[in-house]
Amino acid sequence: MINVEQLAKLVGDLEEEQAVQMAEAFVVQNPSKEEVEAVVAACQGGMETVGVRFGTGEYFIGDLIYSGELLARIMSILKPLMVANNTSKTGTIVLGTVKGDLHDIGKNIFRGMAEAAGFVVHDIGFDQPASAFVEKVREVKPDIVGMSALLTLALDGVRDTVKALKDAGVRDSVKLIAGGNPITPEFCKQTGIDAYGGNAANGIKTCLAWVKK
Amino acid sequence: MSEYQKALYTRTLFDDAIGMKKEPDRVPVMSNAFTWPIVISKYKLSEVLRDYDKLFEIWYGFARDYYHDSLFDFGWRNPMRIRDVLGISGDYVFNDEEGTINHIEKHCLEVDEYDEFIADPRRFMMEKFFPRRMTNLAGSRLNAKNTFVAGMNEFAALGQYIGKLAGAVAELGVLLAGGGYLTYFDIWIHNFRGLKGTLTDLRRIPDKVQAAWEKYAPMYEFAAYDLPFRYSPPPPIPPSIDIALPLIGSGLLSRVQFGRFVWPQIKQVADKATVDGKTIMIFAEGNVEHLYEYFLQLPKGVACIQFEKDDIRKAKAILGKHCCIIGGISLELLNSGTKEQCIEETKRLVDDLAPGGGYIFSEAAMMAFKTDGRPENVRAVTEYVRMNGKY
Repeated sequence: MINVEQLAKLVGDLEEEQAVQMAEAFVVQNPSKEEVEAVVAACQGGMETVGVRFGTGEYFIGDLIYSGELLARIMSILKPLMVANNTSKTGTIVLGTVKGDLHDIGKNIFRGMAEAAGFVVHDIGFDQPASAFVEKVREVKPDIVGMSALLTLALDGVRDTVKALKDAGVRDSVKLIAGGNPITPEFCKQTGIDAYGGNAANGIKTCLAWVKK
Repeated sequence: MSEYQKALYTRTLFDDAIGMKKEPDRVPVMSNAFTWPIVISKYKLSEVLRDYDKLFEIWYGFARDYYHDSLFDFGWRNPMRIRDVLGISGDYVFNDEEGTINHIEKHCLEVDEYDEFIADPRRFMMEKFFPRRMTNLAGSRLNAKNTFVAGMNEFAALGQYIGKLAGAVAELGVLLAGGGYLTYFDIWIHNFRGLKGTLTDLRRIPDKVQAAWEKYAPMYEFAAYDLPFRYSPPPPIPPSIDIALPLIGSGLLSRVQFGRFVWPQIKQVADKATVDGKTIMIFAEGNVEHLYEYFLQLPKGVACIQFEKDDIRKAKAILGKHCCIIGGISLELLNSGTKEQCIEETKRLVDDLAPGGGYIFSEAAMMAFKTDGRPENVRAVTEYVRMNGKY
């Protein structure tokens, strides 16, 4: 059996090659569902370490972006086992960058960390009109909708998305979270968004708290 | 005073602030406006950036109607006519209604091509980079030659526009900032590998990235430093600062990564500038507080640093005896505050940051959107510093 503590440490330390080697050695051992879940949890633990180190200033945004790449690589190795074993999901998120904004790096960091935390993420892409968020929410009935915006002007896109979800009658069925450079706690409060994303790591913590309730 | 004397006086304000041997007569004011003057005008952004008459009208009007001593951007950052002719397309997306430009990443070097680049960088540039980056250069040799000539003509047209603007605003006592010089890290992000690709390469194949940059360096140093700053005659109207060095992505890097991959180049160019008697303006995007230990190694009195998200008072306290600090007034206040609130904040900034010299007042972030400031507030704060920022 794999040493999950060591794997969590390697992910947290961003030691990609060693972590990937461990994951590759693990999948050929025909592991049980519980063992797969323990390995996924180890990766989540490693990503939590990344989030903590980002919060304390030890890691920087470049490290977060890289951690997302590292994790995506490990998850692609584990995915066949996760599908075969029907590994339990934490929750479902519809995620997108709002209309008027073509930036997606922040969104992608969040997506990588959310997937690592066990969420199924429906990423609708960037420059997405409010109607696209509404359509996806109706289709997949998520627990959470995440909106990303980097440009100041995209704040209008966030407001429009919240309004469209309300008008479509689906607002109360989901929790809303928003993140990105111009988003502030005050803006979220004024706009009726449940949580301010802050950095991706904090955003994931909030999402996990919501689905565990 | 003649146009030239006015220009020299303004240059002296900047030289004194940066040189830190004496306080300038007053706090100089550097503009941090980029597309803002265009998007609040009657014209469309995509139209102005392709029309030098309209660009001149906008930027001359901005220099005349506001009270900055120097313009940092004045249309050079988005040279659309050059981009159009060379076929550098698809990575700029205009929204004239909102007044925005979104940039799409474009890769011109794949991760498995590092070895080829390192083996013969000139060949790679000619055969792969330029045809990928400048798509109109692809195809027949004749087509490539015609595109190259058209591109050179557009460079000349941009040069003529800048020369005309420099002369016109000098009569107002306003100078343009000098030529740009980029770090290899930022060049890699914007032209070769994209942000995610570059950051991932620095982790996965750091030695190859470093080897590629070492091979790229001689070509870039000649084109971006030696040619404009050593071998060309000085411009008839002096710039406010000689070399503009944007640090676009460095705030994303850890201290250790910055120390290995970016800092040696900055130190080298700062040392060259010291020898050549040039001044440097480092334009630091994001928060770079974790990099101050490096900035303290800059030669004293050669550089000024524009801060965007740092605590500027802390920056002055830590770096202020070593290099000049630029920045201050927040765009949020300029957009949503009253004129009186903006002036009060400007007074506090000048009172706290100006003593002893080494301070240049500016808007705290790039002004790009309509909501980045109300014209009357921008005018009020720059006028305040001109009238009251005297030593």
